[in-house]
Amino acid sequence: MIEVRDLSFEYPGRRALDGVSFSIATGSITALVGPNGAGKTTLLRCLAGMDRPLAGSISVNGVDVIEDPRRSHRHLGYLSDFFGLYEQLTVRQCLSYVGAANGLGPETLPQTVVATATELGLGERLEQRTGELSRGLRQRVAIAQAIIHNPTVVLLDEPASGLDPEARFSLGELFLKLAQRGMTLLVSSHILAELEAYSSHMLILRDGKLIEHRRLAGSIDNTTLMEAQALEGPAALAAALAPMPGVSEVAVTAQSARFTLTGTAVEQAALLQALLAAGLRVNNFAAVTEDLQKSYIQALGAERHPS
Amino acid sequence: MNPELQRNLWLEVTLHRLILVPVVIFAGAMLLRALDPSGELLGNAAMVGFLLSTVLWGARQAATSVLDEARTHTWDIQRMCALSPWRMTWGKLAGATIIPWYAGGWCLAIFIGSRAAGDQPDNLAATLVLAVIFALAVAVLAQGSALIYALVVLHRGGGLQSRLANLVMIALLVVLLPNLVSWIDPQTTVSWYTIELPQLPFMAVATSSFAAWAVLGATRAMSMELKVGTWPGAWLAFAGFVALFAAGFVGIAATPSLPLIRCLLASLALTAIVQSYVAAFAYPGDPMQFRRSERALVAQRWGRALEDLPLWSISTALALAAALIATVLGSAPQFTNQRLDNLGPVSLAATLMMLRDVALLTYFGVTSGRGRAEATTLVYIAILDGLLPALLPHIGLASLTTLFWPPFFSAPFTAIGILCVHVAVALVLAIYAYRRMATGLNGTTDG
Repeated sequence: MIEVRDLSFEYPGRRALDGVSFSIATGSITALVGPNGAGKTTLLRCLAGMDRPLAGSISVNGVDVIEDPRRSHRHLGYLSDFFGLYEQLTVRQCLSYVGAANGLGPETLPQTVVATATELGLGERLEQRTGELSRGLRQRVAIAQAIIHNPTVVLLDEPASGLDPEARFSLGELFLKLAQRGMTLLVSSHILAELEAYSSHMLILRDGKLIEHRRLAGSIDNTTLMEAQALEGPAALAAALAPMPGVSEVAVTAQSARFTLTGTAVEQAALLQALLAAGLRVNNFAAVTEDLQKSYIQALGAERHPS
Repeated sequence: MNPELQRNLWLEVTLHRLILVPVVIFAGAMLLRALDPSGELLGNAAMVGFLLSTVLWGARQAATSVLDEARTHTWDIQRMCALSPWRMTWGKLAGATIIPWYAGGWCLAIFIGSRAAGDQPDNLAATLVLAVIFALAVAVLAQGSALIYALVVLHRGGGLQSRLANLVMIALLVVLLPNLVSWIDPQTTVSWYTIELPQLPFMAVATSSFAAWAVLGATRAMSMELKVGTWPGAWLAFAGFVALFAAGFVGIAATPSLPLIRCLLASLALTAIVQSYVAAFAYPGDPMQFRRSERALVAQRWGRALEDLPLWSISTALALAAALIATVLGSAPQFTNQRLDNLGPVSLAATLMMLRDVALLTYFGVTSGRGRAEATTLVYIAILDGLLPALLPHIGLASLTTLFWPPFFSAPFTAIGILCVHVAVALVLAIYAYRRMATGLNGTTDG
């Protein structure tokens, strides 16, 4: 969905992004984290085709963002950290403008405006001027503007900043809903506890370099990081797991085998049953839970003090 | 409908405005008619009203249509949409100025009505049509230029004040208004390429052409801001157009014996010099732009390299080429006007001077950063070209004066030699600063 290769960006006298490469899969929610000045906003702006990098390539849904930014915008939604709204226009006018400017035709635009507003809980506010809305509702209008043209990729820079806890929670719910619709989200934030609630992947930047990019434990997008132990040992367990349906990314640790399982609790139970039927004496089988804050600090620490 | 036009109409058009504007205009018209029953005053005032509305107010609205987006943080919404630069440009130009045009339209109707009701010369209809075309073109030219100005301000992240733009527009009106009556007088003629042409049609065509260039320029500036790659073809074509236009007044007219090709080349060089200065100061040296262009060149991606080259470098190349050819074609025969003697070498010397100044600007752009570079460069230019040549004779070093202010007209080839040294020093400084910055960056990343 998003393919980034050797991306470099420079400000005078400073390299903000340095040979960053990664791929992001469809339907995932990736938490973009890193210290201040790590290059998060620069990366998002390059992905959105708003800043032209020094070198590298960016492809979104097969469209080269650097060569053809305007065409890529049909596939992209972007919410900047300092977003603004047309305060004299109503919610309906704002959404109609952005929808039409992103290629929605007059035959579908009115229904799409209503559907998007309803999805974001703005159905009752369509005739209200955006300047009269609360901070949380304004945030929702801005997100509605970013997704009204049904982009495949949505880039959000600090979307929860300034929101109260309740609004943050409902924002997370909304992101999960969008991911279930097949949208791919890349969310930059400093609030790791909030990202933990809905992210499936984590991408850490530091000093313009990619420190880590991996799947997070948990079952955000119907895919769960699992850990299992068997008396036969982790190698035998891993060998048995590898050909099982829904299982991927099998890795062996000192005591256990870690793997990713796509599916619900039903598939988890079926897998356990299959392992037992294969003669393995499984003594531990559970989803791995992860503290995003801890993982983030560990990753930064490992990068600072490699051993 | 163009969504940008639609959005501006939502913002600008209200029932209150639609009613208030004609009420105020007609009340004023009735007052003027009462003061001067002949209608002469009313006609002139209506034209002045049109220009005040469309040039002053309209240009302000055109500029605000972009600057307000930056102020209210909505510019990113526009940059992220899929509208082409052209649709965005005309949507803003037509939409943000809709009320000034509405007011101007009423004024124009009163102007036509008052003229038609007065004396009826034979060519009244043609004169009115041409006067209206001229007035419309002036308005489009002002609004298009204002939009370009606003896009430059946006590109630079502020720095230029809207007050300055207002002053420019007021100055334009100060020049325009007192001459308006003579310009639209059908009896007046203008000499262009030694041909006597009726002034009103000439002004209408020339202003319309410049208005079209202003709209094209605004579209190109918009493309830059929307990160849509554009080749500098239109920029070069504009230099050619201005050179052709200006040569008709200053070259041939002043010195009929001057060979046309040399006159055109010198005009092209001088136009490109002005273009280079404007571009260099409007879009000050962005070292990253050089880096991208350099990388594209190394990768042999010629189109991308051309897109990333700063506009001033394109104009500088054009000025150098035109001035060199004009110089190679030889010095001029005997002219009555000494200022235009040796037109080729003089334009080459002027090009070198510009190249020195732009190289200094690039050097300070890399070492001082944006914002300071322009002011620092201007100070150094003032020292090199003003203070030192003025000071040296007073401290017994008059012989050194020519090193700083070379004899352009009396000995242009000497001036070229001296300015080559200036250019070499400035280029060495600029290249050294650029390389040091590039090495520093590479050192932090590649090493």
